[in-house]
Amino acid sequence: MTRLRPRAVALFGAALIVGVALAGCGPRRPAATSAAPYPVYAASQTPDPSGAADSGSGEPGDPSSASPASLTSPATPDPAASELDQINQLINDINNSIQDSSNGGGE
Amino acid sequence: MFWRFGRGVLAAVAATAVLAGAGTVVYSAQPNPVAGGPAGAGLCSGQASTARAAATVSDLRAFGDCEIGRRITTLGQLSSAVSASKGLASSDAATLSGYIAASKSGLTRLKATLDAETRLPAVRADILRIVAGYRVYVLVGPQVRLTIAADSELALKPHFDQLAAALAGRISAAQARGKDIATAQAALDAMNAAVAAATALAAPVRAQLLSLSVAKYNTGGAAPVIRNARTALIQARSDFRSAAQDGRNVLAALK
Repeated sequence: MTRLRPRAVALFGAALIVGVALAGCGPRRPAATSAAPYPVYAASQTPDPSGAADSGSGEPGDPSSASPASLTSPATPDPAASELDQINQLINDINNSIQDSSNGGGE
Repeated sequence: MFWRFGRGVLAAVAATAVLAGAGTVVYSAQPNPVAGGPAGAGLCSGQASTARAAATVSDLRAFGDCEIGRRITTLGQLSSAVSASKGLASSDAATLSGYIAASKSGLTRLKATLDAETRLPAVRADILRIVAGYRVYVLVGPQVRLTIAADSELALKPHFDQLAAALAGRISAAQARGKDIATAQAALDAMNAAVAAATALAAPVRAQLLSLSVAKYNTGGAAPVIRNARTALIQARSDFRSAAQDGRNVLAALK
């Protein structure tokens, strides 16, 4: 009895190693972190239908790697307000021309 | 800085006029609101001092060459302003470019003449021609800058017309929804009135400016035209600015 004990332990250990090795060679399963079989978005998020978020480089600052919530396009500028901005810029240019015209140059 | 430069160069040119013995040429004190002036109005004050002290051919020639050089630099800046202008009509750009090129080539020829002079009276006469023959700072510069301003102001009209049509459409739509549009309509009317007033002021200016010449300046006919053109364009610019604010008021009233 006492002579057989180390042998039994050795056999048990070998069986355990073979078992573990066989388990490691089998088909891998994804490490499931969610019970749901599809991506789950927070209530405030919507999935990106274009898939653009998946095509990004993942680098910081890459807009395509941003979260779906941050991909919402900015509000379309008001064309009339844009026209007024352009007019104001042109008026500023005119202002410069008028100011420059009054430079006598000491003639 | 400005007063030192302005007074320095005026004194220099006036002193040169005295040296040249041309008592009939009057150099009025021009306002010079920008320190240094174009290409540096005080650029030649050193040469002027030397010429005043010694009045040799070489000293006067150095002063004259310096004054020609700074005018050619200024003409280059004016040429760049013509090229860069978004509002300048192409025909006016061509006319102004012609004036600038003529001044530049004339001054270049004058420099060659001046550099070849060996007698004091001839050098003095050449120096006077730098100013009275070209009027770069009191005629060509304002002519170019104000024509750019005039054309640019007139170029605003189509922008305002487009804006007025868009705003009128919005007012109609708001009215159809039952919104009170009185404030918006009043602002639009004010905008259109301001644009009409500004356009009327700016419209005749370009032709008046482009008809000016050195000869007309030397007989006193150009300075008032330039002065009045500047006044009209300043008022027109102010009207256009008011019109833009009226346009914003329309948008605010429709919110």
